[in-house]
Amino acid sequence: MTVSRPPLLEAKHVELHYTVRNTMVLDRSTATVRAVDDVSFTLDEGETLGVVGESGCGKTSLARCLLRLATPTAGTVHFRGHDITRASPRALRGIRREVQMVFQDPEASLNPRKRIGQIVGLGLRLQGIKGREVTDRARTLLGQVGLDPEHINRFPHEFSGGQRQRIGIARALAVQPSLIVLDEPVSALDVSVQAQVINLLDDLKDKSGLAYIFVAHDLSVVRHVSDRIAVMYLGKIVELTPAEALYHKPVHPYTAALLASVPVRRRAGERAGRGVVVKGEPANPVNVPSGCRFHPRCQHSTEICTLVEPPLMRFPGDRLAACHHPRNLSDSEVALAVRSPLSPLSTGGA
Amino acid sequence: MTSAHPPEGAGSQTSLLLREGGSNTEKTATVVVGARAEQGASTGNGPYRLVLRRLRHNHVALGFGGLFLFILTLCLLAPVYARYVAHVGPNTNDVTGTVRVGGHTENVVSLTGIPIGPTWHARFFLGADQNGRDVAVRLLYGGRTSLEIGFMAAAITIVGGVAIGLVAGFYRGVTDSVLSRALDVIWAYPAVLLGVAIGTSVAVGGGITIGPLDIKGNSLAIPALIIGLVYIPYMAKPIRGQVLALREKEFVDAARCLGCSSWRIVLSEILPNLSSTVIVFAPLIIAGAILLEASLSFLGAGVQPPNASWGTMIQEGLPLLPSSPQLVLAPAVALVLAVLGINVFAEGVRDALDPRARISLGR
Repeated sequence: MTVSRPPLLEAKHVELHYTVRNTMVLDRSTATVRAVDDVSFTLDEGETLGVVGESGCGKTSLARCLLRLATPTAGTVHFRGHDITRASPRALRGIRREVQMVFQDPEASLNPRKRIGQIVGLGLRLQGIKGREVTDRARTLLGQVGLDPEHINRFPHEFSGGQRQRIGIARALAVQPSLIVLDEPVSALDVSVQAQVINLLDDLKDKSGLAYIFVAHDLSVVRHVSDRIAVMYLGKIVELTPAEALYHKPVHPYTAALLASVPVRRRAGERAGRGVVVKGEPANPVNVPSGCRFHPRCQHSTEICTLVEPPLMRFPGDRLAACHHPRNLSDSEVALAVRSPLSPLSTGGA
Repeated sequence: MTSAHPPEGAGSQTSLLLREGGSNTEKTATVVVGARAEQGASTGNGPYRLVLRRLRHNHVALGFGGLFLFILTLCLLAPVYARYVAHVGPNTNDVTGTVRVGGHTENVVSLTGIPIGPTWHARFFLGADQNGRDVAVRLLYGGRTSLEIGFMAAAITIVGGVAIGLVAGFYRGVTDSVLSRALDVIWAYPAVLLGVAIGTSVAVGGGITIGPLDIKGNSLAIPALIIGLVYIPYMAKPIRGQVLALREKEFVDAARCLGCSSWRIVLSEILPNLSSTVIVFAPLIIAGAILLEASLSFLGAGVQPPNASWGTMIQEGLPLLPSSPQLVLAPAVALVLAVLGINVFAEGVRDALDPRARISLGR
């Protein structure tokens, strides 16, 4: 495989740390929240990467770094070879349109004082398109996302959550991006509406060859749309694996636990609780555990887990996982593992 | 080695749902189209439609709003009344004049210095003051002055307060600290005290010169400017708080993703969302400004004589309170009615906009 051109998006050791200041006059201590801690991955054109993890594991922070809505404290994000982490606002403007975002909260993501036509047409007008053409293109876009183009003069509060999310998607599509970052696009919606929106996203991808980064806290949602899935825990990627392999043979114990926690419909008489449901809550990102961050909650943890942070290892089948005790692998597969170049810099061992 | 089993059931259940969802898309879409078509599909209901409907049902608020409008109209018609009914101007002295009331002639100002009471005729309808000026004419002219100052001051407060609140809330950091502390300095003084201090110093100095702008000492712009300035913190603080919340909203992020510049985000994404706050505050500030103008003029720091305003009229009539109470009562009643009218109306607007809001001028 020759590398003829750079990948669509490349995150290298991205770090986003928030400093929390104590505002007391005498006690000026500070604490650092490690929202995203040395995350690396690449995304190809037209690929869909699912990002899953519990609440507060840094999924949204990572997404905001990729769009430069937050500037990473360390590391770089390259879009088609251009570094967007250090780009000036002016240089950023051209690249910005290539990467769009669909937000989690359909309530807050649309300006309540603007008509749908204005919201969808904003991107077009910023590109210098004027007058009738903006309206016509906005109507077409509304039709594309399954809304009635006649509703162009309505206000956001006149739409349901699913419809609003469609408007958000139309707004993102307006500037013809090559990547859309979807930040939990369906978690605020009813299950049946979730399915509609996911199907819509799938159709759009088939038509225009978009790449997605699909952030979700629910593995069953990303399964159907993702080519690869990254599992995050406390600001780090613990597993990055092609979607089907992840569901059938999770390597990291945390992934296994997440899969087991998806509610399953059981036949009568079948006993509940066969899976390993993870215990406790994620640790505080201000005060992360030593070694492997998952070790206090992991049933396989041994002494090495408390001492050495496991590197991200590449196992056969393009499966990446950071664990001292990988699951679902044969001995020969473990023997073939090599340290991935995406591995965090601070990890021990080789 | 498998410790976790792949949850097959979950997967198939979800995919089933997905397939069902696919066919649902068209169904809901057509249903929605059908329902909307009945209401006339093309234009949406603006966010203020419901507000207006709620306000229409609040008859008390509408009544008091009407009262204020009535007073406002009367005051705006002051020159018409002076010219065609009373035939005197607001500052026309007539100490030695006489007037025919009920068939016999009376002095406008009696030999003991007591002005004539209400005649209930075209001339001296509400009587005269110690200089023989027509109280009714002065009342209307004074109201015009007071209301003009009220509206001008409110405009200054709203423009200044929104601008400062926007900048402080959007840029945060040092800009916010500097602006907020500056507002605190103004806020630290009671409004009347600060108004009197600035007003007297300007009156003594005989006017202000700001660059090419030269405002004379007796200009109405001076009390308007002072009152507008004094109220800016009351407006800027809540606006700043709202901007702080709005700038974190996802639609601001979306605009930034599309390539909007900061000023564009401020003007076209954030500013329109402040309109309800401004609408609620505007009448309250007008009421406050009218009252403050009356206080300042009463204390001699606002409108300068011989110009009439309700405040100066009360102050001038005070020495004659025992013999001619109408000199104080007329402007005082007008003042109370005007302020009451606009305040009750403002409260109705606030209730219609957000029934749970707790907004009031002052601390």
